[in-house]
Amino acid sequence: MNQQQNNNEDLWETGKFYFLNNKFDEALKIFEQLLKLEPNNPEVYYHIGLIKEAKNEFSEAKKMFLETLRLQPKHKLAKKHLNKLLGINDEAK
Amino acid sequence: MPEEKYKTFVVIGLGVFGGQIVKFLSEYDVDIIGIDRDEKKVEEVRNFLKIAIVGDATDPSQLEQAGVNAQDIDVAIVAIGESVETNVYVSLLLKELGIKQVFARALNDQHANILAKIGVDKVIFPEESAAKQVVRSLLSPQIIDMFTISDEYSVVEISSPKMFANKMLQELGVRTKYNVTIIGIKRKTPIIDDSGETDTKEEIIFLPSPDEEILEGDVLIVAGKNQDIEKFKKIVE
Repeated sequence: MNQQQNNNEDLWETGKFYFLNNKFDEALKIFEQLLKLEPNNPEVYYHIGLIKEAKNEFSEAKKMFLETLRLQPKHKLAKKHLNKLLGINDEAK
Repeated sequence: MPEEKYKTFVVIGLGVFGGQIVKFLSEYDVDIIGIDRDEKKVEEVRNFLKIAIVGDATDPSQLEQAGVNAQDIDVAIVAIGESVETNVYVSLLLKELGIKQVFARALNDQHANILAKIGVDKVIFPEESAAKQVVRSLLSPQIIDMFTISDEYSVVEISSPKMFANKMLQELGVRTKYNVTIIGIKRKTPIIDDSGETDTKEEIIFLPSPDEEILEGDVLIVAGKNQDIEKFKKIVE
């Protein structure tokens, strides 16, 4: 494993740690760094979406979940969160 | 599940509105009879119904056959939206049958006045309610959801402002300062789910205690007079 991969993994751990401890602004900073390093990773967009949703920034959250689904159309959790924000219940999917 | 006050419902007209009524009712411990002329519409909600009838509700004998009578039905909901005449006629028929509660959908103000005159127990304006909701959410983006208790009182869901974060309810003195009451807090808690994925779980703290701390991202469920809610909204903008 090279140095870059190690750095990215550290960032993932740190970002998730902040998010799980309700430190949304700190988590967002980390995931925005990851976005520059892994711009095609749907998980980065999904996590930013979760943070935005947790901060009640719904319009930004929707954009992030849409981007997640563009990169990974079968991302179930992104679909679940996007549907909730759009007011579509699970039955209607 | 607690026992419901009303046990047996008949929903007449199973279009979009009637169909939704049936689906929401089916979440409770009640029996539902559904009637519509259109077989397709009946099929769409058949699984939610105790008795599904493809028939004409303007025909008293068909209502009788479906078991629509004062003894067996607690509430009748007339959801017919295509024709004011049919809607009024069926509502009148149900009142004459002596159904305890007749709720009818109104398509406009004139229609509502007629329904009131024939003695329906509740007039429903689904389009008006939905339109009001849309306008409110467009003009007050910080309001997530809202329902009206009366002309004077409402309950709204509102994003908590940053200045409330990490403060206890008693410190904020919302009731004294703004004359509204926080009756609940919706909180999204970050979690790792069973498959190891990051997700959030929503919980509701109902009637929070004065020492409950508001966290960033909380949604406050606020009850109060409309004018006080308007004032409260301004401070959270």
